Amino acid sequence: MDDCEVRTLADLRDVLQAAVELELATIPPYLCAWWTVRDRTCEVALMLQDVAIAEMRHLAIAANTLIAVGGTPEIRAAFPAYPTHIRNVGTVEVSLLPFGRRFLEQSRRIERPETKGAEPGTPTTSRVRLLAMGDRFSTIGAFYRCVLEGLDRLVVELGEPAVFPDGGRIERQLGYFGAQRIDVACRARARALLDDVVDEGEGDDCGVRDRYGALAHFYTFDQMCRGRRYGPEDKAGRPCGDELAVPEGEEQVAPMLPNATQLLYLPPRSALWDDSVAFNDLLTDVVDTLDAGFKGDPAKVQAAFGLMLQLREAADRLLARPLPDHPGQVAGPTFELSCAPR
Amino acid sequence: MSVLSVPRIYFKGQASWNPATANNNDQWMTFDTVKAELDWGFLGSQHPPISAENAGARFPLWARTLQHYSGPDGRWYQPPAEWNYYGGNEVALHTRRTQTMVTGAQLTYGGTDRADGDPLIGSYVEIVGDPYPGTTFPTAARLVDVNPNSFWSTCLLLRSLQIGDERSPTAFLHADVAPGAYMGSQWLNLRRNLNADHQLEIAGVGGSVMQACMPKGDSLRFGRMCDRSPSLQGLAAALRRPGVKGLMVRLSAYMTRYFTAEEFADCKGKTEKYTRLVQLWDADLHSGRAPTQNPAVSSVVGTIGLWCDGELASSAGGRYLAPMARIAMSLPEGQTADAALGPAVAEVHQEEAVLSLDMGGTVPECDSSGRKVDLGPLEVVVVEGSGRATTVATLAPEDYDRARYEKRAGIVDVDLRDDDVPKIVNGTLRLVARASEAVVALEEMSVTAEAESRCVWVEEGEVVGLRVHVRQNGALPTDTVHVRLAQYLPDPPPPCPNPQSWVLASRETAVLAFLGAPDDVVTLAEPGDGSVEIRFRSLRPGFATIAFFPHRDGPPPPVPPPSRVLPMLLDQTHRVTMTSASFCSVRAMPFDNDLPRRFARQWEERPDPSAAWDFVYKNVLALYQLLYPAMLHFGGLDLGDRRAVERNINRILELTCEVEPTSTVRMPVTRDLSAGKRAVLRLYAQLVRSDWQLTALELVPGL
Repeated sequence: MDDCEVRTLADLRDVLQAAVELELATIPPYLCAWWTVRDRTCEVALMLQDVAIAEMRHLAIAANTLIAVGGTPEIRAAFPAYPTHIRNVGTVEVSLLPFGRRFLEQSRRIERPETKGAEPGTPTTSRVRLLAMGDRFSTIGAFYRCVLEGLDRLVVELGEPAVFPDGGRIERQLGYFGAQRIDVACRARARALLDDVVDEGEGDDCGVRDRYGALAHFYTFDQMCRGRRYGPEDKAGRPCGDELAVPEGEEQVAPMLPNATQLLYLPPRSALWDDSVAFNDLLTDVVDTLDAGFKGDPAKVQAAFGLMLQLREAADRLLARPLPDHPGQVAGPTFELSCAPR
Repeated sequence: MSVLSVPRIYFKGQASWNPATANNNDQWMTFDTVKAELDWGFLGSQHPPISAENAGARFPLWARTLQHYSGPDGRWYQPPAEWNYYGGNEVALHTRRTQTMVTGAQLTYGGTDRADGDPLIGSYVEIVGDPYPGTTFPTAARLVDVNPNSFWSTCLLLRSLQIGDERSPTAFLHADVAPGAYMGSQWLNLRRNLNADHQLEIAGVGGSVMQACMPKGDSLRFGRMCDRSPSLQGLAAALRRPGVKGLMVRLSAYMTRYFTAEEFADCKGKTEKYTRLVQLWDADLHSGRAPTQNPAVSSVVGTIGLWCDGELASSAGGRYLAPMARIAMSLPEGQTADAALGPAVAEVHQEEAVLSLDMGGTVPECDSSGRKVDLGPLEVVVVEGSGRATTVATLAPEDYDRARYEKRAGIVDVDLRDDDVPKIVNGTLRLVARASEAVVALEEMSVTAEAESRCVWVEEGEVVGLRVHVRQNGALPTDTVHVRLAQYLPDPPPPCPNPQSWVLASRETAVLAFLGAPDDVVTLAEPGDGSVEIRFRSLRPGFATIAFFPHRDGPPPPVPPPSRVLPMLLDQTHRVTMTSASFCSVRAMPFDNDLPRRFARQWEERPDPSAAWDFVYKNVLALYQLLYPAMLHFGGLDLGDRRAVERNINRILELTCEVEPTSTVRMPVTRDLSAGKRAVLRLYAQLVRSDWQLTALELVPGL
């Protein structure tokens, strides 16, 4: 059992900021993989898109919960440089990869269920050094259970009004993500939404689906690994549904250079350099707008979603550019923020 | 069948409407609606003058600055951009200030509502829009006015109906409307609320009915929670009946409130509200926040039921009872009003000996409390061919009061005596008010004609076909039916603030020309599927309303009222009103087909990228940048920024030219970007993609 050391409101806010960082860190890798699939209408591409959007919702839920307990989400400051590690869940290195075997293994590690639901042979990795809070949790689910345990403890000790000041300050939160209500005013709402976050990642009570019947992220990636869908009654690790056409090869997947950085695209003012700068400028706009949005101006979060739609086109320009120094590979988005808020 | 048959699922709540209002032209004629351009003549007369050259800097400030307003309702201060400059035209049933939930279900006529223990009760009902191309995440449903200066031409674009809970919006049901389908506003009634307490403003007194249908198939899915809901299982089982095509949702929106945010709670009058709104905008923009949106909120009741063969998707069918006379109505505190009821539709279920009336838009409310007018007993009367009238049921006030209305979404089931059933099948229905003297409030129209689409856009040179569905006593016609097409224009003509009536078009003023319809009449000689196609093209840009006047052989054909068709029964002698008429709103798009040639010629004579951008900005983009700033503040795209436009040109083309016109992500939301302007965007994209190397541009044939 992983330890829970959430004993003060400051601890709670700290772990919820870590949750924001965790969810934020997973979005660029999922976007990269989605964008590298050439046929964006194929089933796998749509699954990747669904997972990326779910992670955005998880980010918003984590941020809303942090706001509800009196904290202030830091989005810009939390934006990672890739490759990165997820704080608190130290076994996972997160890279920007094209869709393919390496990406799927990484994704299964990120979304790995906590205990019995994992199929035999689920990949484990060597533990790596963690950032600020140390390597404490074996899975994201375990991490969130710590958050919930701490939340419960503090509500018992301090009372709900103290933990959720001003009714959770829901006017500062993003109320709806699409048609789903995600604002957090009390412990029950926080628990329900964070439970959903865990379930969507690793399944309901270690089943392969969440409580609404949707396949958990881990098993979404798992079926891509196996090239076979999970049927309604299938058990973890044993999908028996139809075959799943998984894109592979350069004709179906853009061979993006992993973890590229802007410096790889020298010289400055070349078309490649400019395209990458344009992507990163837009990304910076998105992140800064999100940052402002979760600091009390939730309408800006909607504006950030509008900007996000433009990222894909900017990424496509990069993915169309071969890299002379890396034969057989193409450029990709580097997800590097401009130095100062724009 | 329709929602008047069982099973039915009822819902109630509120809808949020977030239209952009700077095109309203109430006093400040900012928008030349016919040409779909900013009205530079009017704007140039402002102080300081606003021109195409300085509009980027001056227009937004002018549009959100308080100015003196003088109207029939009084005088106050408000900004030219009106009450929601930054609106994005979204419609939602769930927002911070609105919720709409399932309130009950009925599996049998006269049966008890299924409520106890059914998790469906209290679940969320929502409508959502299309995902952006290449994605699956739904966007918001959107509302569009075919004529932005009218109150009768609203359509609601949507992709799906969802029932779920707050964490999983599709936990019970997800159902897509048929491709290209949308909800048209029907039975718009500006006397829906008699406003005895004078608390309702703008269009708050109005109400309308909207309907959409979702066909069976892969896009109609019951969620995992369906297993726990007997009501939903009943609906799912009924879907398997022969002749059932899918699901129907019909809703009534009414009693719209404005300035509903807490920030306006202490504002007393219009000037105070608008002053507060402008202060919020200024403070938001000054601090870099997203500017305040100020959506209106309507009350909503609705029903989900079955959609069957022969039933229109976007209009309420059945036996149509039209308003016939005004009734003296008593209001609180001794006030009185003289108003007509709204229309109703009826269906007789012969086997069960039940008559179901949809009175979702029929009985007015007294005031902002939502209380219904007490009309005393309302008799349902059938008149046989012999002229003999029989009262088959009497509705007591508690059958149509607010509580019953909200519980059953205005649907009233009436048990019939067995011997009355054949009379009703063959006779004519009436609703008779008897509070003081007997007044035939509603009477059945023996033949009806309804357009499949109530909102249509026609481009320059385009021929549009529109199917009109004819019914006789609610069923496929057995007689030959002729449909007289009457073309009405807004009165006064555009650009004009809120025209209040229609006038019959003359040969000189007609906006549309009907094709293959001698004397503007089409005939349905064989019942077939009960529909006949009308075809038309535009003669000039503008706004036309095609009203349908069906009639059988024999009786003298109806004469369309020549002028002043009003929103409701007032002083006019003719009983056709905007509320009762069957019509289709048509926008004849601006005649811009020469624009792409002008653009190409300019490029060939002067291949200057800056000049090309200038052309595109002034002729195409400026309107949308300035009049609809939601795109900048919530869509993340500055249409006045050449670099941003060129970076996103593929996306812009995709959303303006390639996605379906009825998609909720189609841009502009207002649907007034003409084919000519779209062609200019395509040419500009050619230049951008070629890195400005093209010397000649490839024009689309015909443009």
